[in-house]
Amino acid sequence: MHFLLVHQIQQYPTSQDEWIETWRGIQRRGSDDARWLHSFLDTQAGKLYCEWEANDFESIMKCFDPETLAMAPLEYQSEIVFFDTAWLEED
Amino acid sequence: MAYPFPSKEWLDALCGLLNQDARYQEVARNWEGDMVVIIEADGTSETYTATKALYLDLWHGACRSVRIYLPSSEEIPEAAFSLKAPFANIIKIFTGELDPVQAMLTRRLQVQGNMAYMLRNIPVVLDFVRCCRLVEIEESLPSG
Repeated sequence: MHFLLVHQIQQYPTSQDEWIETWRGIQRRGSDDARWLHSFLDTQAGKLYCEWEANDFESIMKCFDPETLAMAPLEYQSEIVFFDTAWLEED
Repeated sequence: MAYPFPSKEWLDALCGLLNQDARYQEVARNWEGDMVVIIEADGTSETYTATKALYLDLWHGACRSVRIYLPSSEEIPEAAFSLKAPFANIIKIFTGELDPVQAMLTRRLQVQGNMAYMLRNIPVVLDFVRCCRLVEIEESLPSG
Protein backbone atom coordinates (compact mmCIF):
# COMPACT_ATOMS: atom_id res chain seq x y z
CA MET A 1 0.00 0.00 0.00
CA HIS A 2 1.09 3.55 -0.64
CA PHE A 3 0.69 6.44 1.77
CA LEU A 4 1.05 10.20 1.47
CA LEU A 5 2.36 12.02 4.52
CA VAL A 6 2.36 15.80 4.65
CA HIS A 7 4.71 17.44 7.14
CA GLN A 8 4.62 21.09 8.10
CA ILE A 9 8.23 22.07 8.61
CA GLN A 10 8.75 23.91 11.89
CA GLN A 11 12.51 23.82 11.93
CA TYR A 12 14.92 23.20 9.07
CA PRO A 13 18.23 21.44 9.73
CA THR A 14 20.90 24.02 10.49
CA SER A 15 23.80 22.11 8.95
CA GLN A 16 24.44 19.68 6.13
CA ASP A 17 25.36 16.98 8.64
CA GLU A 18 22.12 17.46 10.60
CA TRP A 19 20.09 17.28 7.39
CA ILE A 20 21.80 14.10 6.22
CA GLU A 21 21.67 12.40 9.62
CA THR A 22 18.00 13.26 10.13
CA TRP A 23 16.98 11.86 6.77
CA ARG A 24 19.28 8.83 6.98
CA GLY A 25 17.84 8.11 10.42
CA ILE A 26 14.35 7.89 8.96
CA GLN A 27 15.60 5.65 6.18
CA ARG A 28 17.57 3.43 8.61
CA ARG A 29 14.51 2.85 10.77
CA GLY A 30 12.61 1.73 7.70
CA SER A 31 12.02 -1.96 7.13
CA ASP A 32 10.22 -4.35 4.83
CA ASP A 33 7.05 -3.03 6.47
CA ALA A 34 7.66 0.63 5.63
CA ARG A 35 9.79 2.17 2.89
CA TRP A 36 10.25 5.88 2.25
CA LEU A 37 10.05 6.30 -1.53
CA HIS A 38 10.48 10.01 -2.20
CA SER A 39 9.54 13.50 -1.13
CA PHE A 40 8.58 16.83 -2.61
CA LEU A 41 9.46 20.03 -0.78
CA ASP A 42 7.16 23.02 -1.11
CA THR A 43 9.38 25.87 0.03
CA GLN A 44 6.61 28.44 -0.25
CA ALA A 45 4.35 26.65 2.21
CA GLY A 46 7.14 24.94 4.15
CA LYS A 47 5.57 21.55 3.59
CA LEU A 48 7.15 18.22 2.77
CA TYR A 49 5.04 15.74 0.80
CA CYS A 50 6.34 12.20 1.26
CA GLU A 51 5.29 8.99 -0.39
CA TRP A 52 5.73 5.75 1.50
CA GLU A 53 5.16 2.12 0.65
CA ALA A 54 4.05 0.32 3.80
CA ASN A 55 1.90 -2.40 5.24
CA ASP A 56 0.11 0.14 7.38
CA PHE A 57 0.41 3.68 8.74
CA GLU A 58 1.70 2.50 12.12
CA SER A 59 4.76 0.92 10.45
CA ILE A 60 5.60 4.27 8.93
CA MET A 61 5.34 6.08 12.24
CA LYS A 62 7.92 3.69 13.75
CA CYS A 63 10.49 5.27 11.40
CA PHE A 64 10.25 8.66 13.10
CA ASP A 65 11.83 9.64 16.36
CA PRO A 66 10.22 12.39 18.46
CA GLU A 67 12.90 14.96 17.54
CA THR A 68 12.32 14.48 13.82
CA LEU A 69 8.57 14.76 14.22
CA ALA A 70 9.04 17.92 16.26
CA MET A 71 11.05 19.46 13.41
CA ALA A 72 8.37 18.55 10.90
CA PRO A 73 5.08 17.54 12.56
CA LEU A 74 2.74 15.38 10.59
CA GLU A 75 -0.13 17.44 9.29
CA TYR A 76 -1.98 14.94 7.15
CA GLN A 77 -1.76 11.31 6.14
CA SER A 78 -3.75 9.15 3.82
CA GLU A 79 -3.57 5.95 1.88
CA ILE A 80 -3.15 6.80 -1.80
CA VAL A 81 -3.39 4.96 -5.09
CA PHE A 82 -0.72 5.19 -7.77
CA PHE A 83 -1.63 6.03 -11.36
CA ASP A 84 1.06 6.07 -14.03
CA THR A 85 0.46 8.46 -16.93
CA ALA A 86 2.30 5.93 -19.11
CA TRP A 87 -0.81 3.79 -18.81
CA LEU A 88 -2.51 6.27 -21.15
CA GLU A 89 -0.24 5.15 -23.98
CA GLU A 90 -2.07 2.71 -26.17
CA ASP A 91 0.90 0.86 -27.63
CA MET B 1 31.02 29.96 -26.57
CA ALA B 2 32.97 27.61 -24.35
CA TYR B 3 35.36 28.71 -21.62
CA PRO B 4 38.13 26.94 -19.74
CA PHE B 5 36.94 25.80 -16.33
CA PRO B 6 37.51 27.05 -13.78
CA SER B 7 38.66 30.41 -15.12
CA LYS B 8 37.94 34.09 -14.69
CA GLU B 9 36.44 34.03 -18.19
CA TRP B 10 33.96 31.32 -17.23
CA LEU B 11 33.12 33.07 -13.98
CA ASP B 12 32.60 36.43 -15.72
CA ALA B 13 30.35 34.74 -18.28
CA LEU B 14 28.31 33.17 -15.47
CA CYS B 15 28.02 36.52 -13.68
CA GLY B 16 26.84 38.18 -16.90
CA LEU B 17 24.34 35.43 -17.50
CA LEU B 18 22.94 35.63 -13.96
CA ASN B 19 22.45 39.38 -14.44
CA GLN B 20 20.55 38.83 -17.68
CA ASP B 21 18.53 35.75 -16.84
CA ALA B 22 14.98 36.83 -16.02
CA ARG B 23 14.09 33.51 -14.42
CA TYR B 24 17.07 33.58 -12.07
CA GLN B 25 16.38 37.20 -11.15
CA GLU B 26 12.79 36.32 -10.27
CA VAL B 27 13.59 33.13 -8.34
CA ALA B 28 16.52 34.73 -6.49
CA ARG B 29 14.86 38.08 -5.85
CA ASN B 30 15.06 37.59 -2.07
CA TRP B 31 18.43 35.79 -1.94
CA GLU B 32 21.04 37.43 0.25
CA GLY B 33 24.35 35.69 0.50
CA ASP B 34 27.73 35.53 -1.12
CA MET B 35 29.25 32.20 -1.93
CA VAL B 36 32.62 30.56 -2.30
CA VAL B 37 32.94 27.42 -4.41
CA ILE B 38 36.15 25.59 -3.63
CA ILE B 39 37.14 23.28 -6.45
CA GLU B 40 39.69 20.77 -5.24
CA ALA B 41 42.38 19.57 -7.61
CA ASP B 42 41.73 15.84 -7.42
CA GLY B 43 44.10 14.52 -10.04
CA THR B 44 41.35 13.76 -12.55
CA SER B 45 42.37 16.58 -14.89
CA GLU B 46 45.77 17.02 -16.46
CA THR B 47 45.24 20.77 -16.71
CA TYR B 48 43.64 21.47 -13.32
CA THR B 49 46.38 20.92 -10.79
CA ALA B 50 45.93 23.62 -8.14
CA THR B 51 42.80 24.08 -6.04
CA LYS B 52 40.90 27.28 -6.84
CA ALA B 53 38.03 29.06 -5.14
CA LEU B 54 35.33 30.91 -7.03
CA TYR B 55 33.81 33.82 -5.16
CA LEU B 56 30.36 35.13 -6.14
CA ASP B 57 28.60 38.03 -4.47
CA LEU B 58 24.94 37.18 -5.03
CA TRP B 59 22.32 39.64 -3.84
CA HIS B 60 18.63 39.87 -4.65
CA GLY B 61 18.88 38.18 -8.04
CA ALA B 62 22.01 40.02 -9.09
CA CYS B 63 25.62 38.92 -9.34
CA ARG B 64 27.44 41.95 -7.94
CA SER B 65 31.00 40.71 -8.32
CA VAL B 66 33.11 37.62 -8.88
CA ARG B 67 36.70 36.68 -8.27
CA ILE B 68 38.95 33.64 -8.37
CA TYR B 69 41.22 32.87 -5.44
CA LEU B 70 44.16 30.53 -5.15
CA PRO B 71 43.82 29.11 -1.61
CA SER B 72 47.49 28.06 -1.61
CA SER B 73 48.62 31.69 -1.76
CA GLU B 74 45.58 33.85 -0.99
CA GLU B 75 43.15 34.04 1.88
CA ILE B 76 39.64 33.06 0.79
CA PRO B 77 37.05 35.58 1.97
CA GLU B 78 34.50 34.43 4.50
CA ALA B 79 31.23 34.08 2.64
CA ALA B 80 27.71 33.24 3.79
CA PHE B 81 28.06 29.89 2.04
CA SER B 82 31.07 27.78 1.28
CA LEU B 83 30.70 24.86 -1.10
CA LYS B 84 33.55 22.42 -1.59
CA ALA B 85 33.98 19.47 -3.91
CA PRO B 86 36.60 17.70 -5.96
CA PHE B 87 36.96 18.97 -9.55
CA ALA B 88 35.34 15.83 -10.99
CA ASN B 89 32.19 16.26 -8.88
CA ILE B 90 31.88 19.96 -9.75
CA ILE B 91 32.13 19.07 -13.44
CA LYS B 92 29.43 16.43 -12.98
CA ILE B 93 27.14 18.96 -11.31
CA PHE B 94 27.79 21.69 -13.89
CA THR B 95 27.31 19.34 -16.84
CA GLY B 96 24.09 17.82 -15.51
CA GLU B 97 25.49 14.41 -14.68
CA LEU B 98 25.00 14.84 -10.92
CA ASP B 99 21.98 16.40 -9.25
CA PRO B 100 23.11 19.15 -6.84
CA VAL B 101 20.76 18.05 -4.05
CA GLN B 102 21.95 14.47 -4.39
CA ALA B 103 25.52 15.79 -4.28
CA MET B 104 24.75 17.55 -1.00
CA LEU B 105 22.97 14.54 0.53
CA THR B 106 25.90 12.27 -0.31
CA ARG B 107 28.52 14.85 0.77
CA ARG B 108 30.00 14.80 -2.71
CA LEU B 109 29.40 18.54 -2.37
CA GLN B 110 30.18 19.83 1.11
CA VAL B 111 28.24 22.83 2.30
CA GLN B 112 29.07 25.20 5.12
CA GLY B 113 26.68 27.96 6.04
CA ASN B 114 23.10 28.31 7.17
CA MET B 115 21.56 25.10 5.82
CA ALA B 116 18.10 26.15 6.97
CA TYR B 117 18.34 29.25 4.77
CA MET B 118 19.64 27.18 1.87
CA LEU B 119 16.86 24.61 2.15
CA ARG B 120 14.19 27.29 2.40
CA ASN B 121 15.69 28.74 -0.76
CA ILE B 122 16.52 25.52 -2.57
CA PRO B 123 14.78 26.73 -5.78
CA VAL B 124 17.38 29.53 -5.90
CA VAL B 125 20.20 27.01 -5.57
CA LEU B 126 18.73 24.83 -8.31
CA ASP B 127 18.25 27.79 -10.62
CA PHE B 128 21.79 28.97 -9.93
CA VAL B 129 23.02 25.54 -11.02
CA ARG B 130 20.78 25.73 -14.11
CA CYS B 131 22.57 28.97 -15.03
CA CYS B 132 25.98 27.40 -14.37
CA ARG B 133 25.06 24.64 -16.79
CA LEU B 134 24.30 27.23 -19.48
CA VAL B 135 27.88 28.52 -19.47
CA GLU B 136 29.66 26.04 -21.66
CA ILE B 137 32.84 24.46 -20.39
CA GLU B 138 35.75 23.84 -22.71
CA GLU B 139 36.53 20.16 -23.09
CA SER B 140 39.02 19.16 -20.41
CA LEU B 141 36.95 16.50 -18.81
CA PRO B 142 38.19 14.46 -15.88
CA SER B 143 39.67 11.09 -16.66
CA GLY B 144 38.17 9.33 -13.63
